[in-house]
Amino acid sequence: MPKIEDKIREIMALVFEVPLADIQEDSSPDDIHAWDSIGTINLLTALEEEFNVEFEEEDVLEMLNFQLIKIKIEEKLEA
Amino acid sequence: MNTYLDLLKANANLKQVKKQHKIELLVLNNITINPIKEYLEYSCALDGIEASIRFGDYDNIVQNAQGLTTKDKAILVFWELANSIHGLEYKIDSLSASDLEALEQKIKRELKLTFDALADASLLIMNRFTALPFTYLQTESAALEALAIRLNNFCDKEAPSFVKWVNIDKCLVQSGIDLAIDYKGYLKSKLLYKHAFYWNYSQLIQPYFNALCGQVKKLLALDCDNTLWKGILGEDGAEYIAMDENTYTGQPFAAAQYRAIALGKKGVLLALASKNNEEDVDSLLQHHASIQIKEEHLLAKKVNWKAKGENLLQLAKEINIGVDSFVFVDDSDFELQAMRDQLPTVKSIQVPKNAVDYYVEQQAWANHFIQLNESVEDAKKLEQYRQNLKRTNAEEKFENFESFLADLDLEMTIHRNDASLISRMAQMTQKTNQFNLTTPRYAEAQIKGFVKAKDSDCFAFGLKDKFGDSGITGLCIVHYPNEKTAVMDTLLMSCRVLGRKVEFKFMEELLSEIFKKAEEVEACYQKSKKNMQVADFYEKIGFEVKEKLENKTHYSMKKNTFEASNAYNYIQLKYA
Repeated sequence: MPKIEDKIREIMALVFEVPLADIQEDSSPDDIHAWDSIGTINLLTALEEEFNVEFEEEDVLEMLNFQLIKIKIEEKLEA
Repeated sequence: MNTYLDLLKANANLKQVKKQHKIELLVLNNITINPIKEYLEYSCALDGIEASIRFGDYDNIVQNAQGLTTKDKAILVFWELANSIHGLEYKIDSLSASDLEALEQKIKRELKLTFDALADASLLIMNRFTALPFTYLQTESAALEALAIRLNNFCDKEAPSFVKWVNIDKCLVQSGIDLAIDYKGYLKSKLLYKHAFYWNYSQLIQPYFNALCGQVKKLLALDCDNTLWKGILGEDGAEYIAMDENTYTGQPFAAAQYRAIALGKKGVLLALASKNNEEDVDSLLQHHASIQIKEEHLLAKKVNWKAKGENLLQLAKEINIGVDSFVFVDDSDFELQAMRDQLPTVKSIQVPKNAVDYYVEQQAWANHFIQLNESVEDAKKLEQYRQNLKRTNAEEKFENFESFLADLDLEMTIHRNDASLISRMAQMTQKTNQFNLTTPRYAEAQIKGFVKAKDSDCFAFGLKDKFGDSGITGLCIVHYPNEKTAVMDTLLMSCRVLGRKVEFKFMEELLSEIFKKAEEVEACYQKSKKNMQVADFYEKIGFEVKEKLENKTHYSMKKNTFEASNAYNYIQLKYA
């Protein structure tokens, strides 16, 4: 089974239309062009589908880069 | 395609493929609609169109429209009524009459400005105003619904005629509110729609993009058996096929005929593409009490036993239009796959196995023929093409049919004297008309006798390909009256499996088996009303004509003249 972070990386690459290799631990809206407010909505939709979780507004405020998104999803899955 | 993620993945794959056409699409919106980009890109890509999609500024439809060069661009406007002001859907009933009037006038002014600014767009798609997602639980008409109706009336009067109006209620109905509307997303980020809505919507408007790129279909080619009527004319007979609009069984097929005629009225060319005896179909068109499609509706009838791709290619040459403007409707997996393989630019539509589904899906036929500007000339097309047809007489050979057959993974299983198949073998002798060399009809007891007898052999075969199993579909009964002679009593095959050279493979195997027991094989063709297509079958496989009578031809073949050709090796053969 692919690891959570591999799945997140794959989804981010798909949503933002960048090569997989461009998604680093610290990738954030600052270095990914398509990661704007709309990009965030699309990313959350795809992540919610894939992991069958639901993000609240306060979650979203904390999901500022790849690393933080991973932590948030792991929290949700453990809960 | 069940989720947004699936769509993203499918789209990523399609992005690599080079597209034939390009469109520039600008989306103007007063609601968050951005995920639609992927959906539109995907449905365009499937039709060979690279869509470059941009969005205007959020909730700035009028302002954006003013500043644009819209020439040569396609514009899509998502104007969500409920979001005309924040929370209109729950505020509207509490507004004073004058406030509501002021709001309505403002929207109308904005609409007018937008129409004017976008007047030179090459395509302008807008949605009908609707209140459905916000009022569907309410018994009596709400103010939002009334406002939607008034605005739609205003658009009917004021909008330029070239605007293509989309009724988005259709997208909601198709998958239900739950799958189409995202209330949570709406409250959080004005994201009102979700996956099913985007999917339905992009399907619904795709014909406009095709039309914009000149990919308009012109001709509808219809199979006959199980497409225009229920049943197989050559097997069941004209009395037993169903297309009577007053019966449950017949109605979906009557509907297909009426829908085809309606398309013909709008200028779509109609043709038949059927493997049948031409005289049978002609007679049915003229005399059957329930047939609606008549000779006068049809540009051409390709009713014969040739490959359908070959027939359509020939027709395209004759009337001088490309096969890429053909739509082909058929119930057979085999025929559809053959068409996709031989003429991939023909749009092939499968008749669903379930007749009710068929009845429903016919709604979408007309989508293939949508034009941006319909003219009165269209309706005259049939006559013009008829004339073309008389002038030209082109012929075209097929080259890659063999390779298509090779790709099918055909597998033939021969059953020799298999007692478990007695009833099926009897049934085949009773029902098969077209590929049947002598047409004797046998009861089960008689077949049982042949299976048991030492001086007879019953060879039945079943056929499979990668699309499925056709079941037991061929039979040959041989008698050995003495030690030197074999007599072919019966040779028949269901027309379902013809057109794949299966008959030749079967005969070759059979003859090599029979010649193990006999020195000479005798056979005959006995003419019936329906078996003209096999009149020269024995000649084709190397039998010698002994005697030719009016309705009967006698043949024979000697062991030393038989040689297995070992062609047709793409059909794998085994014994049960």
